Amino acid sequence: MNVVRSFSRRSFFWLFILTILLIALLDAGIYLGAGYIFTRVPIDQLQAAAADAPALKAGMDEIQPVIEWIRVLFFPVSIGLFFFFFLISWLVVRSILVRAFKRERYDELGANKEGVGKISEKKKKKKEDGGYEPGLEPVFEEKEAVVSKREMEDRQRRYYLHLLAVLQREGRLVDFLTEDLTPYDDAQIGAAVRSIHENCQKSLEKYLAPKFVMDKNEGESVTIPPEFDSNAIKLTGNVTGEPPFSGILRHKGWRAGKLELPELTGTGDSKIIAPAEVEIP
Amino acid sequence: MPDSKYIIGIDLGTTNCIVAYADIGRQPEENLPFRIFEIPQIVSPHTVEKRKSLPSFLYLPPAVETKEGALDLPWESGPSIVVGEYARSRGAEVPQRVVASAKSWLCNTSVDRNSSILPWEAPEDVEKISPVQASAVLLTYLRKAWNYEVAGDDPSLAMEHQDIYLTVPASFDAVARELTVQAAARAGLPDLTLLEEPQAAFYAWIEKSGEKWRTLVDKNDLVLICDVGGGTTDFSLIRITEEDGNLVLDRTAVGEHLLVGGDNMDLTLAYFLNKKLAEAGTRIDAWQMRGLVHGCRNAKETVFSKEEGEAPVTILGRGSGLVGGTIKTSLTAEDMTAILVDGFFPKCDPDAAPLAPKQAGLREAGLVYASDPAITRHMAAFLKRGTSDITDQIKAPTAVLFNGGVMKARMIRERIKAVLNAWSERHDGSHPGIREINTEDYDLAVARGAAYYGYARRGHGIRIRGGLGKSYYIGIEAAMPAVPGMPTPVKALCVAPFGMEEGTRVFLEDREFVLVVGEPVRFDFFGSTIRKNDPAGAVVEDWHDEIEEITTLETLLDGPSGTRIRVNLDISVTEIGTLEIWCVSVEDENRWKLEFNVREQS
Repeated sequence: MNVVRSFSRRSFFWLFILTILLIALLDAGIYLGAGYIFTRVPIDQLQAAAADAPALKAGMDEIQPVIEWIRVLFFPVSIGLFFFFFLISWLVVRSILVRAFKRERYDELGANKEGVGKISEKKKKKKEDGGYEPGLEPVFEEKEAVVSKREMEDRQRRYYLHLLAVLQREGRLVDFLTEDLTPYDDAQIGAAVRSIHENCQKSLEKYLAPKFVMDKNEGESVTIPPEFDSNAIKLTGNVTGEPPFSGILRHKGWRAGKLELPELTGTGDSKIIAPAEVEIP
Repeated sequence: MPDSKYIIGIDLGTTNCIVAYADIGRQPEENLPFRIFEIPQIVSPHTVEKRKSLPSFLYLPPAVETKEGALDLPWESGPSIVVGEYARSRGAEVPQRVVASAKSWLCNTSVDRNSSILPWEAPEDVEKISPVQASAVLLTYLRKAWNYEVAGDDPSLAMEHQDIYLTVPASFDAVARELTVQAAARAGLPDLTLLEEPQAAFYAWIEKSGEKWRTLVDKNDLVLICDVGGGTTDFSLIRITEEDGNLVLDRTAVGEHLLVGGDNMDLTLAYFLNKKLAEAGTRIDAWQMRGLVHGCRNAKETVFSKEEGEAPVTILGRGSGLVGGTIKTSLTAEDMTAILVDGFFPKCDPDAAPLAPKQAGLREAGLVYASDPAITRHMAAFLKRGTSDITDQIKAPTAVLFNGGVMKARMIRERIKAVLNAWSERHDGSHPGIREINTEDYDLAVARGAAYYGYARRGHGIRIRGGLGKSYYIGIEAAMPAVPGMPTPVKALCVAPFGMEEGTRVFLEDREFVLVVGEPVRFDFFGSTIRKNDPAGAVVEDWHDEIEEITTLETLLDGPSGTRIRVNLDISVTEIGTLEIWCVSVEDENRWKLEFNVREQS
């Protein structure tokens, strides 16, 4: 319901601004208009004429308090009325939104007869789609849609480092890559690599489950159809003419078999890959 | 709950919690899929991931760690207790702030289970929690995670409004069960039903096999359920008989609470390698030891899956001096057989008894770990007790169902089967052998089985007849002249017989007690897994070691102080699986519930 809350807060603000603007415009118009009329209408002549004609004078005496009333009360009443309409319209907008949102949610629940399992799959899919498309940040769950832009950028930065952080946590990859290997012999390095490889492989399998883009033996001849995806298949060598092409598979390529993004909570230094460890004796 | 949309099975494990569920609202009832709920949890600061299991560890973080929302959950910011994967990994790094094996503390009679004592040996500034509270924290976490993931804004989908089945070890006595229900009530789950874990594993097998299960077992089968998890071992016997042409399942015996499991095995391997390294002149510190335990766990899995050869175990150097400080060693299949298979599952006679604990003058309080790690010897003792009342053909189990992560290793399953095979000899000398009933998932079966049990209770499947896993007694003093220097002998009155089923009650009409109003009333409360044939109302005078003291039952009668009230006892096993004992006044309708004393037992 966070979306609703944030939207209703925002709509409240904008409707309020709009109302004030309208009041200002209208009341200013009326004030100026009335001023203009009073400067043009020759009151003195009217009064003079009224002195001669008793019927007109009686009429004017009758109108006088009404005009007086209007002059005193018009502005407060009009402002009050506007605010009243503003409140009503905001409530209407909000209730429409809440209902629409609820319906959407029920549709989601009702449409899939398989229940929760499916919902989470659906959510997952959403995330995956988000992840695949370049330039699009992953689709977060509803409440996160409203986090500020700065937080969003911060989070993106953290996502960028996240996989490396996991590989460091589980397999000490960053320690390994940054270490100077010259003083050690190959056997020593091999022993360390075995452990790093095992743990990083597990993490990679768990978070990305890499799959081949083309699951054929390398060295086999393949045909590239005209509608091929140039992001997924890179052509090298003598590339001329129009597809379909036929060629030899040199590398099977990799794609992520899954993209299960964790949920990153809180804020913090987005540049930390692994914290320093201090043991307190 | 009749209008619930889901049946939820919760395996509140000693080391891992698992939640399985089935959607009864939308599915055609005959083909219910049982799913595992993926539980979001903190795996490292700022990171929440979903996992199939929630490690049953609680971490009480210092205030400095909760800054910047590092330990925030999607549904809660700045929780004071972290549950799950991160708590488990912190357990090795900051042991004084982590509560592990919360469940085993619930049945530990040497402590007051409602007093704040956990984490055991925590420093002064840590706000401790009680064993009951620890279980409540785990259940609260599961409820909130479910309500966030599944229920969202729809309160009718909230966990507290579903049909919940919570598993407990078969060895849990009436007091531990009562405490589990109390913990659940504190966690906001007042309505749930208890089920024994080994039974749940059996239900999971029934669910997996579908209607075929009837052809996979035979009448006169005696099925041993051998559940060896991360921290505990649990045995049960299920006897299969035939009534009116239908197979009937009876749970006829349950084992003792044994604190030995897979974690002990990893530690044993690590100590073995540590010794080997020390002999070669390499000393490792506490931090490297943790890496060694972790490496041993991986190597164990590798070797057990290959069943031959060896797996390297490397301990990487600390800090960023990774390659230079690497220590390398290896575990071979022979080591594994010698240490794990022979150490934890030695071949032994059916008459073997677990080695008695060394009687130290002062035993440290805390968890009572099994003093003999040999699971097969515990199994022998259990079977000897469990089959003592079976007089016909069957003497040894004819089939075995394995459960628990340790049982993934075929080498261990084969060893247990070999041992059981050697014991399988009938009274008439025939040798039927033992066969394995195959489960598919050793880790998730209990939760799935619990959910299936909920389905079976709705009349859709077979139910195991179980009832109480112990006979329960209260102590009454013998009416005899006092002899100076001799305590009045205590006799045991059976109040709830073994196998007393859920939803039944016993009213001990012909035995009256005279209680004094205003003074605390106290009965000694005993239990026995051996004496299975005492009917309610039976008085046992001489029981040697067959009956054990559990706790005391207490109440305070209200009314004019000093008056005496004659009461009868009214005992019921509730539908949810707890035992209730009431005093009912003979003169009027007044009733007083006798409460279990959970304080420290001297």
